[in-house]
Amino acid sequence: MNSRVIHLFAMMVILVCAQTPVSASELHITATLPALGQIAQGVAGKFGEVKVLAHIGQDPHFVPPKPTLARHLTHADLLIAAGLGLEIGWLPPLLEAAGNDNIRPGGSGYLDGTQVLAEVLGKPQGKITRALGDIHPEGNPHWYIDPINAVRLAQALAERLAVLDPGHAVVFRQNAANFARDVQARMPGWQTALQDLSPLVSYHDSYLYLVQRFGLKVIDFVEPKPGIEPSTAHLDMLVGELQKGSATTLWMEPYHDGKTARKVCELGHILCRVMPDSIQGDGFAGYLHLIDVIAAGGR
Amino acid sequence: MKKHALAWLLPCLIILVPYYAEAAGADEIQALKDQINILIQKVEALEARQQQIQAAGESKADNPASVGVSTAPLSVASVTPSQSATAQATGENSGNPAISVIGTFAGSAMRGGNAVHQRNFLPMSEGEFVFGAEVDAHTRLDVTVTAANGAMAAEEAYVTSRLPEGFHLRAGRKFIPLGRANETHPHALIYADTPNGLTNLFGPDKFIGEGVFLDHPLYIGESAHNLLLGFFQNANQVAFDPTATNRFSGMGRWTGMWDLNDTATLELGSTYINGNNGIAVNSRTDILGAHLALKNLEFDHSGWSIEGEWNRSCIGTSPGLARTITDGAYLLGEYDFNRNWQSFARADFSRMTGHQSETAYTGGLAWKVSEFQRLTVQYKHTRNALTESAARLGLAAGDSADEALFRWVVAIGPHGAHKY
Repeated sequence: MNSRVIHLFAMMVILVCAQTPVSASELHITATLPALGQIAQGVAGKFGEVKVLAHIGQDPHFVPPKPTLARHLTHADLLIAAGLGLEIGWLPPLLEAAGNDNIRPGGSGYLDGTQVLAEVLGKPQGKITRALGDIHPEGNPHWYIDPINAVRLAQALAERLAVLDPGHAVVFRQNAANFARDVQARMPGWQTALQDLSPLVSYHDSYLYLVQRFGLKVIDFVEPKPGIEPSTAHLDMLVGELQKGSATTLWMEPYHDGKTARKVCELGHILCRVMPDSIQGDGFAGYLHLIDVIAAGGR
Repeated sequence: MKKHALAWLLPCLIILVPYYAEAAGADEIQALKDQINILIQKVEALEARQQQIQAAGESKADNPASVGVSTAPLSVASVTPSQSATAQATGENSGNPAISVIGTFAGSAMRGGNAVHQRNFLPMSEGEFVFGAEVDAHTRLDVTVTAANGAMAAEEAYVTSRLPEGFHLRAGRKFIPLGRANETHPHALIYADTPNGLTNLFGPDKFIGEGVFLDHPLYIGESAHNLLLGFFQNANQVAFDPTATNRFSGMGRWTGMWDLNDTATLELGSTYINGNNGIAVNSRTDILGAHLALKNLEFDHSGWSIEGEWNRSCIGTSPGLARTITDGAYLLGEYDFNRNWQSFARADFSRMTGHQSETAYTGGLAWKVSEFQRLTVQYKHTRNALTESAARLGLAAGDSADEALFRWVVAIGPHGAHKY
């Protein structure tokens, strides 16, 4: 047995030595969601390498915690998460596997919505139980679809990156300022375009920050409670309401684009709009394109 | 001798003292540089903030359409209120462990050889009380207490220490990380039974050990691996000691995972366990196993997976004499229609020295009402049951049986994510 154990140990040592080396020359940033990754890439520019855990089009609540994703966390200098419980079902096991204490919540290499937002929306009131559905007790975590919150993230990121890489602090801050200017310039156009899509029905409460920012009106949700599939009775009631002309569009995330939502649109005589929370594109351009797409009525 | 016992420290001092003396001077210079850098950063931040305020003012003045859109909170300086609000909300419970309770209500009907019948109608077959929290910055404690048949016992209780260089040390009582199914809590498995391949190797319960397990994740290219070494005692009556006396064993395990594309992964793994058994003086048990899992999970929550494992135990009765070899294997196919509905089919195979091979086929449907509630209905046919499977079913060895199983799993409280 001893020789076998020694062989196993030797194998462990050889494999440890064979690990993929990581370049130390640039900042290693990992974002949980594609939109956060685009903002991070925009701020870091060529001085940071950004990896993203979730894929475009994937439900951010249910990303499979594959050990292969943990490799992006092992050597990360900074982890950017939406926070507020959005990634609670899959990020903790990845952090545990990665063994990088610096990027755990509370660590100097961790940044999430609670450190960015001026106000957290959608915080449940009263006694919080699971009878309310898959709620986020700390508040609605889909804040990154609001472009002003994206600017706030960019600014917070610039400050954090300036600490990690003081030599390029000016660049990071300038990139964030440029993004703020671009968002500012597009806000009036988005404001006008989005009014045509309101009032609306939303599948899940993913657009709360966006609709509040632009003064849109959500009359109801396809999900009777967050994360709970709709019953026939709820759908009947919703269709009845829509047939009265109370909404013009139904907004749904790509991963909720299914028979249920399509049937509601058909029976309620409204337009189904697939409104992504991320879209292909590099850096700030990718994020700005996302809001452009939403303002233009989705996919 | 004692006089010179610390003489070896002298060269160390000779080397280290000049280093620290030099470092002290360098430290002062570095501290001054840091202070200058901080001042420069503060000036830059103030300038940037001033520019933003000016830009915001100009934008509002130039563009009346934007008046309805709140752009005021563009300054990072206003981050603080939200942070303090969150701290107040969570601070009250921050020192308590996460506690969850998982109830498993199971029903079954079985008809076997020699007109054996068994029926159970929804007794709470098992209640799991799961406690877990960080002990301090380095260590975590997880305890699972199980209540079954009127008795309570610590099913798992172990500390996890995060060591330097990414090593994890787990010490305590644990499901032995063999293959995929043994390590997983029953409530997290899609099926309601235990694969016969595992029952015939280790009995109807999990293969549990008490000891230390050291593991290290490795990332080679795009693949993720994990290597584990363990040393533990166990009282497994089937594979080690019929008298349930603790026996010591060592183990090694490798798992590797590759992303095939955005949605599909392949996992391969192998385990080897070797230890004394209580059958004869110096007799030993070897367990060698391999497993695979091919998973494809689409973004719309549909998906499929194929998972299987094969384990062989070689139980030596005494050195030089014949060994009892038992093979246990299963192959599971799962299809997820959507987030709520899943179906599965599994084939079990077992073989033991001096006995006919045993086969079992099972299939079922699972309804995931929510993240915290799942119902499973399942049919299972076992043919030529080997000793352990037959004992579980209350049959004679070699008999066959048909089973209908129903399971309702509910969970309350914060329960961590299950292993992928």
